[in-house]
Amino acid sequence: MRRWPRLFAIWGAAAVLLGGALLAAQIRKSPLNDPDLAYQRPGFLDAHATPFAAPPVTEGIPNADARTVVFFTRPELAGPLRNALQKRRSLANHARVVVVVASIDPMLELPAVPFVGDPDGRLAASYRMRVPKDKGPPVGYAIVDRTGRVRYRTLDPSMARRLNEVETMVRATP
Amino acid sequence: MTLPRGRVLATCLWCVLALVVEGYLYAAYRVHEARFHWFTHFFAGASVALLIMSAVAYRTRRPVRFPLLWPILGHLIAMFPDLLFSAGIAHERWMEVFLGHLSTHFVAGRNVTWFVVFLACLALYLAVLDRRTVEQP
Repeated sequence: MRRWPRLFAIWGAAAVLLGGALLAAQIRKSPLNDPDLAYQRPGFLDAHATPFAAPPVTEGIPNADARTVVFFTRPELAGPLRNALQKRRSLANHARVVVVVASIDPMLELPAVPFVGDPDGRLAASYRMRVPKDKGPPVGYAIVDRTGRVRYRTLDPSMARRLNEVETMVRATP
Repeated sequence: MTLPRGRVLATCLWCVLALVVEGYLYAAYRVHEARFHWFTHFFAGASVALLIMSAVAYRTRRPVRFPLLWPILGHLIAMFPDLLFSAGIAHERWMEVFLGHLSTHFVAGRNVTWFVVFLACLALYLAVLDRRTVEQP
């Protein structure tokens, strides 16, 4: 006796349940996310392409023989990032840190962490940061290795809450 | 045709268990804003499991035992590098051995493609059940 009606019902239930969940997840995406989530927080080095020489951000950064994390953020998110960096000092043990804010004057300070303005987005573009869904300035970070090459870059709207993840990627960078 | 009550109950319990496990994993990925990754690894892992289940069922002419356990196991294997990542170990190329943990994210069509692959693999397994196997008592 054929069981196909029952089996087809199982297939249909799986299709509706998982298809619905997938659709819901696609709809509820942050406007600061990467339009292609495969490129957001991939978790491994050189996910995008061949490494390239890191453009200078400010005097002495990036510099030779030290890893560098270049954070890119928007003015309204710069404060929370500053506070998070102040709390997580361990990141500074592994890399130089610089914050690039999409404004003329970031007006923020943190010892050993320069804040740099990038109002026209030229610096972010030179780091080949991907453009978020809302087409505004990127919110994410790039990691430069000790030889001065960009090895990791990603958008991450919640990076201030995820500095442990940044540190994991920094420690994996030569 | 009616199924024995005990078998229906056991099936329901397995379904609940599968939903609880996958629901927990989904919630964990959601907290990390990584639902995209949950879908990829679930579809990839479950698809591989369904292919193996199809081969086993075809060969033995019987449905596999604990059919909901296999896709969950496939998912756990596919997502294993994410457990390492949460412990502070970044992904590396060799982690592709976990059912293509890195490259599965980059297939054309992304998770929609994996969804279609999953449905095709599920259809294959169910077709094998329908055509090749005998109903278990």
